[in-house]
Amino acid sequence: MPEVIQALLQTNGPFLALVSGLQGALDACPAMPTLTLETSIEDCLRRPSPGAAVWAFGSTRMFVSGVLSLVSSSPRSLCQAVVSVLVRFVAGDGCDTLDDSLALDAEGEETQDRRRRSRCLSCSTALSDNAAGTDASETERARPQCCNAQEKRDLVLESMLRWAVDVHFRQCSRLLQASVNRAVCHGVRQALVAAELSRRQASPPSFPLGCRLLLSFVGGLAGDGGAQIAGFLRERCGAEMRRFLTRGRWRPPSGTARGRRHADAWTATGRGVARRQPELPMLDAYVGHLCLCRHVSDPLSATHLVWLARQALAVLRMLDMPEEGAPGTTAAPERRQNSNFEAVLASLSHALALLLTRPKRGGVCSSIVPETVGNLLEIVFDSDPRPLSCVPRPLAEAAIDVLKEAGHLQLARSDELLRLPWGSRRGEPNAAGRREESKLGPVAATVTEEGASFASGIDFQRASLAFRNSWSLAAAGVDMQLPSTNHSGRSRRGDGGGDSSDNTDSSDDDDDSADGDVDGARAIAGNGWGRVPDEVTLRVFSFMTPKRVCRLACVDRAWRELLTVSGVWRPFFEARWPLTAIGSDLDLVGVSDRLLAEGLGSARKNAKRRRRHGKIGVVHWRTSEDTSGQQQPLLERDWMALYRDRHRAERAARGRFAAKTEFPWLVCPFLGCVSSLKSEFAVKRHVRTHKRPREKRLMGKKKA
Amino acid sequence: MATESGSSSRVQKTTSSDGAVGSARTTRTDTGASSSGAVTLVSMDGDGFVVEASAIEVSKLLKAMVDGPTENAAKEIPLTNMRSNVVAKVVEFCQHHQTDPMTDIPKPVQFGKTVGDHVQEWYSTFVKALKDEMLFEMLLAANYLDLSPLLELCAATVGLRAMNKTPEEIQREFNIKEPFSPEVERTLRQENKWSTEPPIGS
Repeated sequence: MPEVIQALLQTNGPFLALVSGLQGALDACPAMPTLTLETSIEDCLRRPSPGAAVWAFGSTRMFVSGVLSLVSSSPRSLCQAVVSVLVRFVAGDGCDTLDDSLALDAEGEETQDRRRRSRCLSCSTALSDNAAGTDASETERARPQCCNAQEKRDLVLESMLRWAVDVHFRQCSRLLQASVNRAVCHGVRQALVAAELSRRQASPPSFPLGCRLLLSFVGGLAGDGGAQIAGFLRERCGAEMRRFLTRGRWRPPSGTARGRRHADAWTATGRGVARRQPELPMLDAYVGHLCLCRHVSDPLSATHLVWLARQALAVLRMLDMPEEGAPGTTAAPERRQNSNFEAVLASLSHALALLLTRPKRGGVCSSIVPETVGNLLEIVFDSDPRPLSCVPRPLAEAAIDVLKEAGHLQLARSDELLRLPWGSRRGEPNAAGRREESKLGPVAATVTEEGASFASGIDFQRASLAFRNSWSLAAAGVDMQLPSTNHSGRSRRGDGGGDSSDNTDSSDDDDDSADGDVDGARAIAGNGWGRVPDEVTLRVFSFMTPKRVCRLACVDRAWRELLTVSGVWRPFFEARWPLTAIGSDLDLVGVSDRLLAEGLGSARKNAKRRRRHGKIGVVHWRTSEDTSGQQQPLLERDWMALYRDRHRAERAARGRFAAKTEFPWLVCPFLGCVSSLKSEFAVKRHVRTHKRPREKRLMGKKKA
Repeated sequence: MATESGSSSRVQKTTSSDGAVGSARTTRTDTGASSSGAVTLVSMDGDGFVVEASAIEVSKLLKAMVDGPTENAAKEIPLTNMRSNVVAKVVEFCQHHQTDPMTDIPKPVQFGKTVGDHVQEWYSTFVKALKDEMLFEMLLAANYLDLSPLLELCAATVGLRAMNKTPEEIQREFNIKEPFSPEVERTLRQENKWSTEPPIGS
């Protein structure tokens, strides 16, 4: 079979026909090494005469789209090979080579030269201002193009994005999805490196559209690649904020040395505080990532959203700061109006709304959040018919802060509304496995007129549908012109205005082009956790035991937030109590096989297998809310509570029974239940209650 | 700046043409590096470190940058957020890792154990020589470069420093200056009381 493939590669036939041939060949011979395929395809692309049919594709965009759509249904190895080649083209200067190889020898030398001089090779746009009569060697160097290499790269990236979206949302096989995600993440990473390098060299910095779109998609993917890119986005987003603030929207107080330098610079250049439409592509990408988090499971999305909201608050507070010695000192509301930040807040609130109204899927929603906050948000966003009782607490706090600052909401006693009752954790399962009701009364909030009009202006369904259809922020109704905040990292945890303004000050006195780098270097030079990203903090925590990690929550606010949302507790739980379909703890007390079969049905076989391997575990019990037979997703907060409660219960059981009886201590092996069991009879009876919960038994009695 | 990559390096000094930096650019060439597979890492200070491309393949970022067809591969990689001493240390680590890969550090690290109990002596000495500030810089550099072994080593060292310390001690150790309000702190301590209870029978 490799001979057949080699023969195919030797032919000068159309490239797509070649790919089709490869597809067929690989169907018959799936063991073809990917590396060989990559080399072959790359050779084929670089060959001067790939064939007339390739030229028929005309532009890079169409070519890439065609190839990708063709291979999306092909074997995995071919798919990976083509994506790897494309990724290499995206990262390097391969686009030029691609165009060269596409253009060469399609219709003979003369026709080709004419075509080169008359059309752009990338987008096939007709060009009028060509230097006529350039010879072939000059054409190689200065080809008539309206697209530069960056734009071509964007086209490839955009095509890859659309392909990845197709693969992801057409319910393709998981293997294909995984390979595509991996390849696309790799491509994005390389593109990011290229963009970062060009950003540092170029002025003004530019970030390509295709890359932006791709980032917004991949940032929302679950997994390592998504998390890494989300972290990168957040960092770059902070840098953009700093640049935005130093470029005229906000001036530092002129009483400070930094302010004087800033004013001098403004006078020298003759620029005023003119209205400027800033380009904040990273922020767009970041908000896009957040919006996409609605559709995929990303446990960090709540953290990201809180960060974004805090950044917006920091900018608001900066706008409220008086500008000492400035000629036209104005009141805070006026400054806000002049700064056009209201639009930003509206956009941000919209993004928050989109996130808060997401369906109950993935990591953001859970059933552990105080209902009062849900009600409060429901009042604000009353145009959405769905109840908003499932909002994570940090998200809700951030949302309410933003809405308060924006004037959309007035709270009577916001602090008391959000504060936890003493010694209790509302909504979380208690020792008996039940959830406590909220002890607070009705929401003491009033919506201002402005807020009401804002809320009524949101058409959630339309926005959601539009977003789903086109996968772009603009279609979702989120304003693309989002100027925003000041600093990455620590500023998300800062509540005080002074704190955040200090952060901004430190970055303002540098030149626009270099402030991000110098700031970063300065922050890195200092000791401490100021610039340590969350994923690194989690890596540090991973070397500690759960108890030590729990103690760390008392050290820092950011650590506490991180530990409640970031996904460390489930691995801790599973390491100590492996989750199984059935727990062989039951065997310890002699529960019969009949009982196991009754209680857990088809899980019996799995249980026996695990028992053979000597694994004891906790039964992954279906919660009562589950009607579709699917396990309800649990948030990190749940896992933390489950770990704590089980640890306590085991400790109590060990202390109670160990000394008095010879009966082995046992906690109910069902997840979420921490009942201590004393005898075999008690265990049997207890397991029956899990099989038929109290509600079901009561319903059965009523029916009878 | 003193060479920190040991005796196997020699230093070439060349003056950079760009006036922006305004300083002499130092190029440190590894004696074993052949000119064909050599890559120059340029630090924030403008110093260049010439290393074998195969040595830096442990870093996924650098590998991605030097990967690909020969004509597209980067010969000079600017690392503008790292100081020279950090880049030197990273290069030293990569070169040693190429010859003697670091063993994995178990998670969690057991009570009473140190990093030196799990990794080779060279790595233990390497990380012990890092001061506080340098350790954090190395942590960030390893994260930026996607250099997993170095990240694991530094993270484990930092994690072990935080072990068996009270929150106040950790705040002092890592210069964390955002204390909770007294009420919140009391609530938190109450919530996390289970983690401070001694094991039964101790």
